[in-house]
Formats: sequence, structure tokens, C-alpha cells
Amino acid sequence: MAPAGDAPMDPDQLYTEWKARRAATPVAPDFTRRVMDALPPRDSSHADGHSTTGGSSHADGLSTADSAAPGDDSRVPNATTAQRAPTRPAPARRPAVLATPLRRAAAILVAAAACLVRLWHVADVLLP
Amino acid sequence: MTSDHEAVRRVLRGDSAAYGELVERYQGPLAGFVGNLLPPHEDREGVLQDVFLSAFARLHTYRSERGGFSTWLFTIARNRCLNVLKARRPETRAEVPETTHHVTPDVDAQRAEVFRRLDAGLAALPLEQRSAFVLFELQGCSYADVARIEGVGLGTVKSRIARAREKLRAHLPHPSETP
Repeated sequence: MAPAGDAPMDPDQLYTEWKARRAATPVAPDFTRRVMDALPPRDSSHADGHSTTGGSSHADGLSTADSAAPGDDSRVPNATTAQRAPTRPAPARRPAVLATPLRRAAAILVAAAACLVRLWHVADVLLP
Repeated sequence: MTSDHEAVRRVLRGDSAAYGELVERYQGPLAGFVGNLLPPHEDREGVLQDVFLSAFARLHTYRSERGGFSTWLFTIARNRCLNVLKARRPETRAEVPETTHHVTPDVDAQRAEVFRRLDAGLAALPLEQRSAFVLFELQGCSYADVARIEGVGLGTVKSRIARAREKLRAHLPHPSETP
């Protein structure tokens, strides 16, 4: 094996080696533990994957009606300390208790409108 | 190994411990991405931690139809890095890049010099080219994933990566220069 100083410098090989070095970034061994320690208690109201905000829920149960673009964290303040306790609680959601009567009222209105249309059709046929 | 999809489901059901698997799985690639985007004096590990905490807090907004979980995480990391870079004072932007390639028995002085030039070349790239290059060339993302993360078209991504490659390769020694 040739000494390191005499090794030929193949540009492609150097480039590949450099990329491998740049890609490998060590992380502190206790990084996962520190993240887990800093996690806020999870709101399990989305445990069934259904949104309470009135939007459509994705079939896989992983999405809600939250309109934020994925990864758009511009509203999240920048933390500056090494031990980063979350500075913002999980997004507040409308309680189901408020959303349900609205949905019921909307459903009743739609059903009533459908009945009126049907009655109008029946009347149109029966009456001269 | 639990799939990302299953781990996300478990976390959403209240099993926060499942998030540890995702952190374990993606801390390396994300550290590589953040480390290549932010200058050395920034608290990169703190930013990385923020990315995972932010992702956890907004996990219910993750939509698998828009792309994989890793793509979503990289998008958060990219946005976070942009915020950090925007917050920096302009005069500190053109700074000496990190030098990680010290002269060691396995890396001779000549190689170290080439690596230093490439480091400088990478740091000098416009942010959008650097980000696309790091995602594609160093982190192994596909063109489509890079396009999703960067929020641009496929053609734009390919063009950015090609330009970045071209600029970086200019820092490599010409074959005739090699001993």
C-alpha cells in the first residue's frame, strides 16, 4: 500500500470521499433521550385520527383539517437554549362539544331542504 | 422495525414513546442536513432538537399523501434553518466555513486542502442550491422529495443541483495536477 502522501488524487474519488465526510454528522449519544425528556404531554384528542375542526380527515387517519403547510413552522418561536422545552403548547382545538350541535343543525337544515324539494315535486305531479 | 406510518399512528394514539423510534431513525440524516446548512457557530443540535419538538407538536398535521414522513421532517428542518439564517446579521453571512478535515495520518495535507476548498465552495453556494445539493447528494433524497421539501418544481431542483455540482467540481484538482 502506498503511503498516504503518495496516493494518487483521483478527483472523482476525492469528491466522493468529501461527500461521505460531509454527510456523516455525529449526534450526541443522549440526543434521543433529551428530545424525549423535552416532549410536551400529547393531547390524545386526535387519537382516532378524526379532526374536530370540521375538515375532512384523511383515510389513513393521519391528517386533520389543520391548514398549516407541512413543515411550515414560521409561527413557532425560535428556542435558544440547549435544553429546549417547547415554548408553545400544542395547537388549541375547538372542543367537540361546540362543533357537534352546529353539525347537527346543518344536517337538519339539509334534510329539511331535501324534504321540501321532494314535496314540491310530488305536489307538482299530483296537483293539476 | 416499525414503519414510519405505524409509529406516527402510535404517537397520535398517545404512545409518545413511539416517537423515540422516529427520533432515533432520523436524527442522523437531519443532523447532516442541518449541519451542512447552518454555520458552525450556530447551535445546530439545538435547532435539530427544535425540529423534532416542532414535529411532535404538529404531528397531527402530517399528511402522508403529500410525501413520506422523512420528507415532512426535512421540510420542517429546512424552514427552521431558513429562520435561523434570516435572523442572523448580514455581515456574519460571509464567514469562514467549518473545517472538519484536519491533517491526520489517513488524510494527508493535499487531500485536506482539497476538502477545505470544497467546504468553502459548499458554504459559498446560494442557499437554495446548497439545500438542494445537500438533500440530493449527501442525504440521498430523490429529485421528487427535494422538490417537495423546497417547494419548487422538478426542473428547478435538477437545475439547482447541476449548478451546485458544477461549482463544487471546479474546486477539485485537475487530473494533471495530481501527483
